[in-house]
Amino acid sequence: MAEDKDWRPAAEHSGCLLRLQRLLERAQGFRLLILSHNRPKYRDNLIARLREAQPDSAVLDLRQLGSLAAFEDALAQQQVRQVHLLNLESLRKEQRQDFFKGLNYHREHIARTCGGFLLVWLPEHLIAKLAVEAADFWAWREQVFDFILPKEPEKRRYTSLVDTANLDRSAKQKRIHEIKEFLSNSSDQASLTNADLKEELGILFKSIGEYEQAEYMMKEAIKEYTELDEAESCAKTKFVLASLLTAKGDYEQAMKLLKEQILPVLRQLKKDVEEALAMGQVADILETRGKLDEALEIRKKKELPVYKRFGLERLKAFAMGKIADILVARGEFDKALRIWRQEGLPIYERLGDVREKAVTMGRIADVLQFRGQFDEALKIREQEELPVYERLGDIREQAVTKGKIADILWFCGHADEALRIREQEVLPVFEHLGDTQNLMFGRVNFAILLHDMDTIANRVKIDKLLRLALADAKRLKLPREIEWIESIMQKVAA
Amino acid sequence: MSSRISIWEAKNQLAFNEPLEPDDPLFVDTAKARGDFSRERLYRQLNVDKQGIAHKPPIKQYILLTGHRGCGKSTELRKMAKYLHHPDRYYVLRLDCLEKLDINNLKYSDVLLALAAALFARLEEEGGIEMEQVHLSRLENWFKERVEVHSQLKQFAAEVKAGAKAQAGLSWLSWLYGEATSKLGIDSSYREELRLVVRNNFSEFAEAFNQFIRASEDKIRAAGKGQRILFTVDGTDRLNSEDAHKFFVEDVHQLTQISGLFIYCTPIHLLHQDNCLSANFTGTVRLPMLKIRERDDQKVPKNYRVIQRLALLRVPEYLFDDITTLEYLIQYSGGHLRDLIRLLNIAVNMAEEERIDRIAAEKAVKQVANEYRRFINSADYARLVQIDLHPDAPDDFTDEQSAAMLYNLILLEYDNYFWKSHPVITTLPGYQKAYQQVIS
Repeated sequence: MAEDKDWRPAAEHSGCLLRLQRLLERAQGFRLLILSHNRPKYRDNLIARLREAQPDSAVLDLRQLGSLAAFEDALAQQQVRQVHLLNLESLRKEQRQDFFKGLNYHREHIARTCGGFLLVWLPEHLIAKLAVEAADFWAWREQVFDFILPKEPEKRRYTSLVDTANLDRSAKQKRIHEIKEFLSNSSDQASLTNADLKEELGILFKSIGEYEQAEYMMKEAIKEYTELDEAESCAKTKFVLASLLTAKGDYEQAMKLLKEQILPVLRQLKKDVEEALAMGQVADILETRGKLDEALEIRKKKELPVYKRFGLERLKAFAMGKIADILVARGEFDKALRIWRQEGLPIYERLGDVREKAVTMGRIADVLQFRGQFDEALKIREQEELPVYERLGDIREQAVTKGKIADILWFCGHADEALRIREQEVLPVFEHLGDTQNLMFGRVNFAILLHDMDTIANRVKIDKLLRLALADAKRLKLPREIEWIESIMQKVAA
Repeated sequence: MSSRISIWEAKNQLAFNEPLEPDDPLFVDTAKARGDFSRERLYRQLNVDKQGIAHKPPIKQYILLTGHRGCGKSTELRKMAKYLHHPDRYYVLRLDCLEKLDINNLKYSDVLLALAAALFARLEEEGGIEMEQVHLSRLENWFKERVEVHSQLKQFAAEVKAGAKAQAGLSWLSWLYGEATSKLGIDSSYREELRLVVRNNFSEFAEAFNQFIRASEDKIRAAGKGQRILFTVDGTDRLNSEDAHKFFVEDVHQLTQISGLFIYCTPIHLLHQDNCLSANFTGTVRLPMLKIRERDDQKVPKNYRVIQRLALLRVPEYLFDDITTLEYLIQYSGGHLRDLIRLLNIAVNMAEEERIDRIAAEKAVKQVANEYRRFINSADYARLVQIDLHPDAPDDFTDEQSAAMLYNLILLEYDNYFWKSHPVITTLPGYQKAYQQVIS
């Protein structure tokens, strides 16, 4: 009995399966487990999965054994930790009644002979019969694990961050209102519908910069998924929460969430793509902290091969873009530009992903700006980036882009306009979003502009901005930034 | 300071499969937490006074010990047997039918042959007791004249003789009856024939065995090992409705032809189904749930403490987020020990971290409730609500439906004789709906 190559357990069974695996791994002595199922093929794949993790196991099939005596003989011959008993439903009614009666009367003998886990797989209707006809045997059950599939399997559509991010601001607000109204009228009873909507609401709040509300809703969704035992959905929402924490600069919490609660679950569930995405987020955090080699290693070895294997073009383009980011940080600009232009933009254009296209264009503009090609960079910012973020209602990206436009204006000699943009259009947005990291950079950049203009006249303002930025850098535990801000402070003081 | 154990090490102490001996480190005396239940009442029935002296017990006494499945009957029986086995009291001989016999289609003949075999073996092992041949001959002859000559048992008799170390005396008798019991215990070709022989010649066997019991009781008393023999029979509570009826009701006259003192474990549902039981058995000892609640659902704190001690011996306090989490699990166990162990086990399975928190405990309650839900119908919910609203009058509800609910443990019986729904059942939507319908 081998697991089908492309088989995956249903999301609604993921929590149950993980707990069962943990139990099989860690508990000792005789344990009677009853497992309900309604699809033999699905059951066989589950058994194959369990046996893969613990090969010290055997399967006893009552279609072949036919009676209690034969089962007991076969059981006595097994010296394994895990015995799966199948196809009780194949016995005729009288045979089954005898079998149940025998299980009841021979309970102690069976427990002694087995010594480890006895996993009895039963269709739902036979569980009630077992409970009544073999009441004492049933009384020794550890737990009933439910692996019943819905009659009409329906794939649940997961909320996608991209789908939401590509909505414009008014559409987002409309959707937020719609979900809030629905939730306020629905019962307190945990349900998948409500959990999915709470997650979507969290993502929507994040996209419009309402980070606190976003975090609250994501945590509510996680709570509800946990209650419903939806380990997979729970991990996915935690993944979204980790990205929110990263955006807020709370790297330690994000990393902890990824390493301790998300990756182990995705690994156990064999969710390769989701695992690669979570590894990508780990790489993002490492990159932010200056650990470029480690980040690059993850992108090349843990992310890309998975996306290639599954033919996921968008994700592949995305990972390539991230590799280009690292190349930029290493000063390898041409290589980075080539990746963005040849492996990123054509794919996003083909897929109609306007946001990622704008992000990629922004990265290209970053390099051009760094190289002093200000006109080209400004054109991209004003024509390819800003209008897209405005249309999408993404105020955070608008502010980031405006900050970069201010930098270009500064270099081009438009100091007053640059200061105005930074002071009136950038910093207030980051403050409103609670985006600590961007707020820190924004304050430092603004302080530098003020310093370059007139240090003495702007002394008090500069000091305040740098002190606040340094406090944020320390809170975010960013050593490079701390060093950078301290050196600016020394320069200003001198 | 002793080292801390992990949640999984604790889980391994949460086993269902063996009753505890009274000297087991995990044993907790729960008798006082069972309401008015007291062992002393049983001891009094056996004429044991407060000083622990047995006074002239009746020649023949059959006591039934009953209680819900998993409420601790076997453990309690061991505890009582340990106390009663004393020179001033009784010479207790324990038979676990699940160990020695195949209780599938168990017959009185199987039990009585097994009891005889157990008595012979014990006396043989016991130093200082010598049984003269005169006390053995009738049982030897019964075997010789009724079993050996039976055409279909000749081969069996030959096999038994060939394997025996001695051909006379107590050890010979012990061997003969021991072999017969083991053939009854396995599904051998001789089983039905042996049963037939015992059934057809039962009076002779009973007389011979009665005589042997009297003689051995004299010897036991003389050796200062007890005043009388007391047989305890465990495992007969496992019998299903049909088999239990045959064993305890239809065949009761044969069963009780043995003049001795017996405690039989009996399934609880039989008491609610067969009124004639009381006519044939001298007493019934009900082992109730641990009384953690009164009929008005008020907690009984001192009994909570007993059950809490039992739980903490297995899962130390530091493995709970808060002691109130354990209290919550105790509350939902309804005082049913095996369900408390089950709730603790499942709470460990549900725990996200290395301790049991309230969320894990709530999930465990939900899980166990769902497991029971499988065999409750809407009529049951309505009945449960009615019983809960009138806990003082279980007699008004005594019928097959209630008996089935007691058997399935969705209805629990407490001392002072009141019934209540298993607390986990009250969390189910079906129950809540039925409750709303009744009160509105």
